[in-house]
Amino acid sequence: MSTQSIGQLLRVGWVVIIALFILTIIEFVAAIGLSGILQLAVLSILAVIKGTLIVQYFMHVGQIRKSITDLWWGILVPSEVEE
Amino acid sequence: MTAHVSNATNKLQELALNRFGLWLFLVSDVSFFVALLSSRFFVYGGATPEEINQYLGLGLTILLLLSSLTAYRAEVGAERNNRTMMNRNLLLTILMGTLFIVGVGFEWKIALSHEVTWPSKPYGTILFTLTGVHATHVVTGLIAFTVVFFKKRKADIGEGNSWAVEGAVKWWHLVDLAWVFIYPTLYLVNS
Amino acid sequence: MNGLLPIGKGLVFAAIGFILGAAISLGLTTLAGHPAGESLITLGYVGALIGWLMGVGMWRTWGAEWFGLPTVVHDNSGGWKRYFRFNTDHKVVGIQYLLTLLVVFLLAGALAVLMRIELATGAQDVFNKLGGITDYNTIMSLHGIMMIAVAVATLIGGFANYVLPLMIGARDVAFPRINGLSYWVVPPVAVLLLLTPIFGGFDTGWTAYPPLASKTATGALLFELAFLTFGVSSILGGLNFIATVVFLRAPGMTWGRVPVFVWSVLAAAVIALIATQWVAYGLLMIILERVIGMHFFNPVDGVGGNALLYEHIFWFYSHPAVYIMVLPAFGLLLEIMSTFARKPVFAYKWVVRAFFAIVGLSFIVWAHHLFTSGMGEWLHGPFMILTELISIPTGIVFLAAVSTIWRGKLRLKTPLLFAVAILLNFTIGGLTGIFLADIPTDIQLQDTYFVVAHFHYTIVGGEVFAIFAAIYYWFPKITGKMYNETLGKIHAVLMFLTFNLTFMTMFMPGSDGMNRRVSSYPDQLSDINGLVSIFGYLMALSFLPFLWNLVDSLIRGRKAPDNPWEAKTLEWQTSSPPEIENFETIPTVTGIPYGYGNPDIQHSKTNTNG
Repeated sequence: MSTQSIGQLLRVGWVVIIALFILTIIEFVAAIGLSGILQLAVLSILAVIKGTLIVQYFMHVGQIRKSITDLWWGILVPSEVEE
Repeated sequence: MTAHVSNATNKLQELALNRFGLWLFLVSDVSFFVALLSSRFFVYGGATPEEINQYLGLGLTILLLLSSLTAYRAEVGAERNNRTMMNRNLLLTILMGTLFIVGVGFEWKIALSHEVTWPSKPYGTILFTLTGVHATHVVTGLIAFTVVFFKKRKADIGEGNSWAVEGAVKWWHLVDLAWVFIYPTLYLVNS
Repeated sequence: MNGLLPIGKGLVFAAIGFILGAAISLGLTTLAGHPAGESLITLGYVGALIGWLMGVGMWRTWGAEWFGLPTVVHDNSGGWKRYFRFNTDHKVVGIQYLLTLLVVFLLAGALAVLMRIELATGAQDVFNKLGGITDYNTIMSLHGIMMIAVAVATLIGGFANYVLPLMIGARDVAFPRINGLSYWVVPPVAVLLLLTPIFGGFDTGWTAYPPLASKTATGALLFELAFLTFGVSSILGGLNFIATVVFLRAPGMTWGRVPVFVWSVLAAAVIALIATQWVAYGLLMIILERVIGMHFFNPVDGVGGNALLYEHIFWFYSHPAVYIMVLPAFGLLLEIMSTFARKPVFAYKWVVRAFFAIVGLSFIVWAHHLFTSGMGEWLHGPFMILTELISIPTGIVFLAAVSTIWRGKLRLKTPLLFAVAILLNFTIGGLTGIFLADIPTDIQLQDTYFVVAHFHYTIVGGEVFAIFAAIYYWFPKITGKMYNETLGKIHAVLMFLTFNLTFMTMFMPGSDGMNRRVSSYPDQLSDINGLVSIFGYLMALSFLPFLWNLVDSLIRGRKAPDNPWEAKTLEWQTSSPPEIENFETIPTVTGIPYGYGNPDIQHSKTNTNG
């Protein structure tokens, strides 16, 4: 986030929100048009996509990526070597 | 002098620490919502009563998504030292969040008027619990935004000085994220 | 006496908060046209809890900041007063937890003695004589939940709080104010639980299944609120430790140089962070059923829920919860074995992996508590296999422990005695768990005293013994005084013997089908139960040398050196007790903390120029 300009950041905001709106409309249509397991599967996938967009672009989950991978590797291979 | 004891060696580390801590709290809250959502199918199966107002549900969803945009813009404003953008969008978010609560109140009023959606009936149990717990998170978020608005209205902002805004906004995005999953679970599933 | 002012303020604000909450509840229920009933207690309690927290110091040191008001900075340098207010020093918080939980432990132990008096004969005669003040079921349920609280919180909230920041070379935990908060919700939990007899008690056991939990006396509501509150403490504590270990390790402390106790606390913290919400939801469902009349657990008009929903949700937390209890015990076990055998922890990397394998597996075995519940048969096989799998990483930890002391130069001090006892006890606990994991035997043994003996072997024999190991191990560090070693050894031997006598014998009526949670049983089991009771009284007596030692050493114990055990981890490289900021200068870590007998491996060096 720190490297992008204010214009870029605002544009990302608009792109993501449009995407979320479109996905929501698709959700609504799928709910009316489909039923059963297929409906459940489609709704689940759509929800996950929407959730990923929010977590990635609005919540900037990437900011903690380094801490998480550091911890993960530390558990798998607790190394003595200093960086 | 503040009583806050910080163990971070510098401001950058303090920010990273606060951010990580908030994420941990958000993850723990996600766990709570997963428990709630999973019980829906146990209690009421895969159907939704037709008494539920689908247009209200869609409207609430759109409203909350919009408020997430304004929250995002408020954070951008704070980080990039644009005070007007921050203040305006904080107020917009609070406004939309309040409208959302009013909408949920409306939803409850409708639910109380049909026997199948009473809280003492299975679907009503799930409806009131899910939306009630979610609404608690919304109200907490609104309180947080109000406190942050008054604190940061004229205070220093910019990169490294915007944690209060960033924290409240992340909480709001969690509220939106939870609704992304609550909405289809509560309204749309109709096997 | 103004040292008790924060407590006084807390109580006053709690009363005000209760009135406010009850008023809101009254308003809402009048609007809805319902009788107020238990919603008064629920909303009143929420108000009281907030008031209590604000009064004991959270407002003056934290809350006021949000509103731009000046806050108070306390002097943490000494005296008893700092323990009776909201405090952000992890060492103070650790001691607050330890002393509170010690009182809870002794009370719950006394309740157990009462239970054994009743259970000494098959007739239900003891509590009748008490004039109906309370009943067996409430005492049994209280014993359960109070001991669960002690088991979950002592090693983490008490010892890890005190020791972990020292062990990683930090000045405090990541979020000291949240740390203070996690402690101060605990006294209300204890108070609520002790008030339950006045409100009709609760006869559900600590597991509080519906439909009984939704219909029984108001004491059950107090229990639900208490357990919920305790969950908040657990979640916040877990959050704090994860952040602390990830961010605040001393320079040079790479992941491979982190002591195993720290790893074990990290693993337990992950479970506490993610699993606790599930029991919170289960408890919330019961509260909503009671207060609003919601229907989670029984079908209405042919549609609706099932009491099994509660069991699944409850055990989804409560099984991982036992690993919150036991993982720090394993970590401590390995630290003590290393220190007192003068050998490095064997297979350190595999131990770390095993801890987290346990964390992962612990989330997918919960339904072994539901084998006799009527859940779908297709779930039986998979959960049986998964439950058995968890013995593999546990076995790795145990093999590592045995290999650590193998051919070591043993220093037979009290902590090591407790550590060896843990190995023996938990082996029995684990082996008997196999009979419960395997469905054909579990069908017969579920809800019998076999289960009771099994979990006392694992939780008491494993974790409570670890708590005592921790007390003896870190007593010099925390108090700056040495305990009496002879008395310590006497306590260790007596406790080990009486504990095993009590609970080994208990397996027998269990496999004969004696029901748990009921105070009567068939007459032919009278003799053996009488024996278990006698052994139980002896076990209660075995705590006396410990209590004497504790008090006597606090008053006139010999001054302790900085490092009485000649251990390598960082908490021993500072004074006993440590100064307020823990270290004069933060040490730099240069090697693993287990370089016994190897002068080339130095865990740390102190920078003399800051």
